[in-house]
Amino acid sequence: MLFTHITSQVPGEKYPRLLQEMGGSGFPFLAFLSEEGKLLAAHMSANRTVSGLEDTAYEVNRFVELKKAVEGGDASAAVDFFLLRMKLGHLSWEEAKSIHGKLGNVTPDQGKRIQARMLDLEVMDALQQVQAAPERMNEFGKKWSATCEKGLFPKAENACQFYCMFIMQHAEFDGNARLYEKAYSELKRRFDKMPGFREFVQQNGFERKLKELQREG
Amino acid sequence: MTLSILGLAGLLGWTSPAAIPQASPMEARLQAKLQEPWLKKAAWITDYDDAKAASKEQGKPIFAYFTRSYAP
Repeated sequence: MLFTHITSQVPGEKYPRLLQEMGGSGFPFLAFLSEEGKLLAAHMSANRTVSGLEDTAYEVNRFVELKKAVEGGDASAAVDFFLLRMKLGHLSWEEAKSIHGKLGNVTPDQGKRIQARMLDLEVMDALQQVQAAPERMNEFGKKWSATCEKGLFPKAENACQFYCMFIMQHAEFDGNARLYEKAYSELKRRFDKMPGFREFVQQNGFERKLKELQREG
Repeated sequence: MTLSILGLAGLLGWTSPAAIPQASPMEARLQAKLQEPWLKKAAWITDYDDAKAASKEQGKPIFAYFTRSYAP
């Protein structure tokens, strides 16, 4: 279903702020919407390629199929539907916890995938709290140290970035070189090829801090 | 054929520039946008309410392309 919304600034135009309501801030903006006009997925600029758009379209169609299956009583679709809703950003951490509590049996693989996606949501929820109270960054870093030690990292890029940095900040505070290196290694693995990452590392002195911790340890 | 003075005045009034509705620049830009070739290459719906109704009727999600006409 192809729809184009043209913001015209003609007096009396219908839905002059539809772009902003869908979370867009500039043109062009591509999104998939439900029949009620709910945002299912926005196609973000970082992945604005043909194959990227095809991937997003595939996920949206999958969402529609799974929703229909779940609403039709297919319990086996519920876990995949939950995972996809988290991936598409439809659920807050609180909502995800509530749904998770009511899920039936999950396979070990599904359990790992759920854990990673819920970690995405938990990190983004924590970020909001840290923005209001920056002193809490160490608290969250400490909380996630154990999961980091087990090799569990968020799947979403932005969540992974903040997760690693919170843990590194706690590790530095705690004098824990091994934990710092573990989180920093994942940060490098995920983002080393991103433009600006090397400058970001240098500006924040990550390498220097790691060496200092290793010397003191 | 003769025109009455009243008829002539009416004719002038009808054709004077002040009486012809002028599209505002924004409306003109919108109309120009709506004539762009890409809109004719596929079945693009340009009304949001119509898009939602069609989506509901056909059971398909909406692919929304947000653009503008008020500026390049």
